[in-house]
Amino acid sequence: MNKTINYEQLATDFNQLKAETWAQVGQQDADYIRRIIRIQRTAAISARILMMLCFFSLWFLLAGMLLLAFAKILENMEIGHNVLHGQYDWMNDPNINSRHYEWDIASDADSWKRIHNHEHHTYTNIIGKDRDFGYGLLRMSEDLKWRRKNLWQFITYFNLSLLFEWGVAYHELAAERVFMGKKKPNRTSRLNDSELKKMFFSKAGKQIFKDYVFFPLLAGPMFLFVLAANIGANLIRNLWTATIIFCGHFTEGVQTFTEAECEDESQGQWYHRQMLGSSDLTGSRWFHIMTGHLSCQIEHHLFPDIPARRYVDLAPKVQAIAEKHGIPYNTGGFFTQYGAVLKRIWIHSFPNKASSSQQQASSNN
Amino acid sequence: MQQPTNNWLTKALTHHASFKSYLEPLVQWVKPAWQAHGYLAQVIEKRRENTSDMTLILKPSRRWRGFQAGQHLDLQVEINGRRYLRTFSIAVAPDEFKQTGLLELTIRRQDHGQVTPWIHTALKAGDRVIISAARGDFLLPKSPAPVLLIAGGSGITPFRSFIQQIKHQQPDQDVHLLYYNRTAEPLFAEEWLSWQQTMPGLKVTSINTTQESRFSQQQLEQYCPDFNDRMVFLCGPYGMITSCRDLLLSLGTKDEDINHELFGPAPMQPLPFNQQAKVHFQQSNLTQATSQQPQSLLEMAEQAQLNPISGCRMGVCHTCQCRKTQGVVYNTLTQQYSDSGSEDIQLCISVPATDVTLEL
Repeated sequence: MNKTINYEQLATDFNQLKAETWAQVGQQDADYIRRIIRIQRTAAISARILMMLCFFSLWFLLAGMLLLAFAKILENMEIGHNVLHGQYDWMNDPNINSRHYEWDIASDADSWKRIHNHEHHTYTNIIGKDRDFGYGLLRMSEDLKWRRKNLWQFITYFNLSLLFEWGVAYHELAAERVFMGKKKPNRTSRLNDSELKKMFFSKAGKQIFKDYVFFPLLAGPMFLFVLAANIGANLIRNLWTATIIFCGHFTEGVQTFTEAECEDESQGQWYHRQMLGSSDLTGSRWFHIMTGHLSCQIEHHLFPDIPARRYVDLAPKVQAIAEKHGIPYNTGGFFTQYGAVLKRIWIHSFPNKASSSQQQASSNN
Repeated sequence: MQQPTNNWLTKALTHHASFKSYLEPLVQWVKPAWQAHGYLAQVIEKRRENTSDMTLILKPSRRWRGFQAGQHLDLQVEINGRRYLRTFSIAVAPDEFKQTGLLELTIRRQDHGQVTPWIHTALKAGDRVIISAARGDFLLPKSPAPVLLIAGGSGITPFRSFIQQIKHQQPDQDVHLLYYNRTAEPLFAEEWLSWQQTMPGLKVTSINTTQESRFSQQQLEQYCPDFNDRMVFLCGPYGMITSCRDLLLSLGTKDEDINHELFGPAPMQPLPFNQQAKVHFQQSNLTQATSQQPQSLLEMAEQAQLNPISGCRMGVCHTCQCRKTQGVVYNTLTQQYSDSGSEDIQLCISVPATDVTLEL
């Protein structure tokens, strides 16, 4: 990594910022998350009722679908993701605690915590260690070998976005090659295949039952309409979450790392890698809330367990520290950043120009 | 405030262990302090007893199911967004509660504590707190046989419930209270005097331990020579209970005649083994080695920045229950070693005896 950066000073600066922020965390944060949960519950219950009213007019169905999508996005992003990171464990409230919380998404919370909190947040953007980098489906960096399937990865990306919750749910099982593929020789998972399968089907079964059986059946003759509205709400949520998450790690300037680079990494170097591996989005207060403050992906990766509502105020301070140490700080509006993501997916659909000319050169010799 | 067992349909529809938990944030719109588990209680009054003790007078919701003399409950308060749980003995008699509908908790200010200074200064009349159902098997016997009650410090509180209950039911029962305390203003001193008007059998001996020695054979024979004809009840800190018990047993009191209730956590030292172990927290993938000072697993987890759910921190409330997947732990309360396999343990009173793995 960069030799000119004073990593010790960098670690001191960030640790100090972290301590200052933790000292302020308290009643305001508890009140905030309870208020958000209240809004989410009201939206979810109202959405279910609106859908049942589709007897009278199909406009109720549309309103119900949009409201349910809103409730699911709020639950997955601002509540679920952040609670499961342990951001509110200090409240000592069993319902707002990372060990007990389960979210309204196909993925089992424990499975997600194993893969996301540990692997993705520790080994962020290290090729070969962070499976969130392209999810084994997309080639998002020149450091990854080009395969034929990358030619149509733009379509793969769109499908992944639509089915994102199932991608997340299947993530750990794919990593452990539960259903197909060659088992890894040095497997570290403490769960065996049958436990992983049981966990996957148990959670998936509950979700399918709730959204695609229970509530549609409750609507009686309107079964198919309510089923369609539930599918619609889940698809909207999937598209939104996938889009936001791609903006956090796959924009233009975001860098990748090799395992060798990160061996014996100091805390300062870890902070540095988190900054280079993430990018922010600018936006309004509710835009930040709807992204679960993943719009402040850099701040989230530096301090994953600080209550997320604090990230917006932390951002200018983090940017100042970045400037002081000469580290790039990747931020921009949603459309600029998302445009960069799409460009990145497109460019890496094709083999590297530089390396292919190198190959030619070596074959000429 | 334990959660009910999971139900498949509830889990599928709400992602919570119960519908009540799912709806808790919505109910709180109307009743801000309400919680799905536990009972609401309103602070009616705070009565100052002396410089370090204060009695909290609470009116529990009508759903609260009552108690027996000598039982305790968990009091949950929220301080700056964080919930704390502490266990207190009920200092009033069940018969008194039936008439007034009010509970009394006498709380000593622990200067370095997180909770009691806050209760003393910030909690106000009119505030709402959450209490658990009453628990505990340190109970007043039904028979009118003579009793000897030995209290140390704030261990006096369940005895106030005992004596007040006797006053209501058998005012002529023979009761001798031996009260060891460090203050010049012992708790409830004036009350004993007025109760003695209607209770001819009540005798109170207050011993200031800053002037007199602690519990000894000579004191016992001087103040209560017929101690071997009485049921004995001990309540106070760990050191006092063990020394009283040992002395009584050596003087011929039968083991079944000695009842005791421990106030405060048992000390961690000395441990009967050489404590050098590693604790592995599985879900967070962290490992913490034991330090020189004996520490509970709860303290070790907190040191590793894990913030597990915790409660009374003395082994009473079971809030910090956690799955141990392997290793042996020593329970400082029961002084027993655990099995080496997978089982639930209470983090706050468990010390690792070997390397231990926790589902945390």
